[in-house]
Amino acid sequence: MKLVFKLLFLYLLFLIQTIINRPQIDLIVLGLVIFSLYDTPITAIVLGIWAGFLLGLVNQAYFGFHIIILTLVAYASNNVHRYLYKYKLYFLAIVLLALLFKYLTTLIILRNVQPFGIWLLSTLIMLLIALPLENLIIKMFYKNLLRRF
Amino acid sequence: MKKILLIILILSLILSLLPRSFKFALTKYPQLLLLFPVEKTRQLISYLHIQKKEFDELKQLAGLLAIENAFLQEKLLLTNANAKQDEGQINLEQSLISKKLLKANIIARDEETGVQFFTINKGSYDNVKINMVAITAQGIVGRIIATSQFYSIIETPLSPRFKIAGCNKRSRVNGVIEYHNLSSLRFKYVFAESDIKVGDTIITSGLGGVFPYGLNIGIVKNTQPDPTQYFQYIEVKPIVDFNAIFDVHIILSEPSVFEQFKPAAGSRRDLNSLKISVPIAPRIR
Repeated sequence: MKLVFKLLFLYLLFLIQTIINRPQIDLIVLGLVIFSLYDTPITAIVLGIWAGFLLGLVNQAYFGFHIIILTLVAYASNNVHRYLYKYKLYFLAIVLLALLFKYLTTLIILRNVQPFGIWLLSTLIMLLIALPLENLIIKMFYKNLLRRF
Repeated sequence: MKKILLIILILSLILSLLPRSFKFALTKYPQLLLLFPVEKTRQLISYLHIQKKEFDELKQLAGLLAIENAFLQEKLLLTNANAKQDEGQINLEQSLISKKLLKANIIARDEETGVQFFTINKGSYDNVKINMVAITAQGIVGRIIATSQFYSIIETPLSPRFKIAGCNKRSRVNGVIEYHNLSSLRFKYVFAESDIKVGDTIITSGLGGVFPYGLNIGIVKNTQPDPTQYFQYIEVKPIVDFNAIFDVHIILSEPSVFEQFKPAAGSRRDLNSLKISVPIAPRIR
């Protein structure tokens, strides 16, 4: 049941991201990284597939590519977490790496990305909202984890 | 776990390499379902955007029609009175109908009263010049007393330095409209025997050359003989609610009309005392 809510939360982020459109803020990637950092590998992969599927709906011609990219992002974030994730700074670094990975793979495979300057601006905006969003997701889905800390 | 991931990645790769027509067919129904809220929201935003544009256009049209209406009413009055000698004064080509209006938003008000000086978001870049007239569909708002590239300051009739030549729309009695207090004006220099009644509309008389003829200023609220027994004491309530306006229209007239007029020095002093200055920062477009 919790997984369904997580999927719905990602869907909500996707809707906000698609409606805002300019500047393109990858809220879904941000949400995915946060979920992946706190959750099990299986959940991370399922969420990655779901996020990739949603992004593929907007860009049907490249349907499938986003699933690969976001599943890898989710899996990598989940793995990196075990070794690195201790401070907020690492979280921001992981978000930045995930965004850069998505940008570069999209650039290499699809050759259809926004200019680097605009990407940089939207990345800065995302880094600003990353910590509040992380707090929100922890409070909504990982209360027990919070108690353990 | 790595095997699952590998299988998923291979399946996704196969999916991404499928022909486009197949992909479109595959995503058609999920897209309709999952992107429904996005589509509806975008439609709503687009609808609101169009509505706002139409609203602005209608407001501008209302301003123009108000001026045209004032002019036509005056013409009708003259025709009815068979005042043939006055008809020559009205020249359609030179009337307000032929003038252009520029919509401007009020972005700031003076801090002390909030009704004496307005800062608007149009300046010399939009051909706004000192002494141009600001109006709304209801009537006169004031005149431009200072401009910068993208901003201007309007002085309203509720400023103590402001004076307009006015006349009674019904009886055509002339006088001067001046500040009385922050909610009303005085119609001064009207002889005691002149025909002025409570409820009469005071309009601009066109004398002085800055304000065009026929714009509504206010309604006569109170009349009583002046203590000097020579002039009447006439209190006028402004037609425009200066506390409740957010945008105005500037009448863009020929520059030559205004070049000969200089802004009143008193207005400048008022601005300095109120610490109001025209913003000079460039506008972000």
